[in-house]
Amino acid sequence: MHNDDDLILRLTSEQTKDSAFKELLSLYKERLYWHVRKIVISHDDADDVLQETFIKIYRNIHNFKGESKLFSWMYRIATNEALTHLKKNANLKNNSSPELHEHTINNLQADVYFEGNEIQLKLQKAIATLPEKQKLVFNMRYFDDIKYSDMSEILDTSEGALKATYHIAVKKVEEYLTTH
Amino acid sequence: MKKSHLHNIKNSGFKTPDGYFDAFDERLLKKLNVKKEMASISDSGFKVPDNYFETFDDKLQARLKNENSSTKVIKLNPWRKVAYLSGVAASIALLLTFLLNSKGQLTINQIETASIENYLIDQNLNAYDIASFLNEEDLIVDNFVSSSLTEESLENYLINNTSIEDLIIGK
Repeated sequence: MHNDDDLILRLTSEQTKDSAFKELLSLYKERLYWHVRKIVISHDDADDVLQETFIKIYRNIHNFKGESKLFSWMYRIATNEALTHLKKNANLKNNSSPELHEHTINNLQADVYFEGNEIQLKLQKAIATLPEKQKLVFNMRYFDDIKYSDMSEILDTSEGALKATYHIAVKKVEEYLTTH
Repeated sequence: MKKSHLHNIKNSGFKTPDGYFDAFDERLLKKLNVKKEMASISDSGFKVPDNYFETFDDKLQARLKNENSSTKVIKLNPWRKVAYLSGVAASIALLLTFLLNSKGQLTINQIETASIENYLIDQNLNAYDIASFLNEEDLIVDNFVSSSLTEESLENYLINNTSIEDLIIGK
């Protein structure tokens, strides 16, 4: 198991910060990318958000107080960045966030960076119908297998509430897949 | 007697929608199928451009370096923000004072309780905003403990200040 404390120590010291940051990137960039990608859907948006996320992490690592796991802290930053990005995009296009999301999902078939089969596409469409929080919880649990205890730190919600949210989300997704 | 009566009831009274059992198998199979399909999905289907992760580090490092050297972040002093806000607040207060004064002798007592209530609701004040209006002198424990109400004054207050609707809603 990787030692967070040691990495944080090196990240907060000026001499070792850059090399430690490289290590942090190689450890977490892919996981964070996939987390963000499932929220914002398009690769270009995910790339923007991932860069912003790591810039924030680089600048604010000295503020990390170790109250949660480093990984939860970074996931929280990435989640917030992704949601803010969606809202910003929607505002730019004078559109509501859910509407724009639906539009993006409908264009998914034409996306060169989506190679899902018919059922994967249908699943993405089903997920798109969920409210924001359910969408997050479903993605994190279904695809990434994130533990409820970690998710609770990331989303600042009790484990019980998260389990209930996931249960409702699965029911809705199954319902969508059955009727479409 | 009761027993014999029970024996006569042959039907529970429950009914199913028309064709329920005929369509049941099909619906169940469909649902099982969906579950099977969902279980077969191992990833979301999203892909990244070739070498994306390999080149990401350099791209990010370049951006960090670039930002560090070329742009110095000018932080807005917090007091400046406060000054702006208090400026806005002061102009609103001034405007209100003029408006209120121009109508002559309007006092807080003349404003209907409902209007004040609506104002508070419209302004979206939260508990902290309201608390900030209270002076600390108002919050001395003695004020709560020592002030005693006579039944008569309580009754007078209720007669003068409440309507039957308030009491019903209050319930």
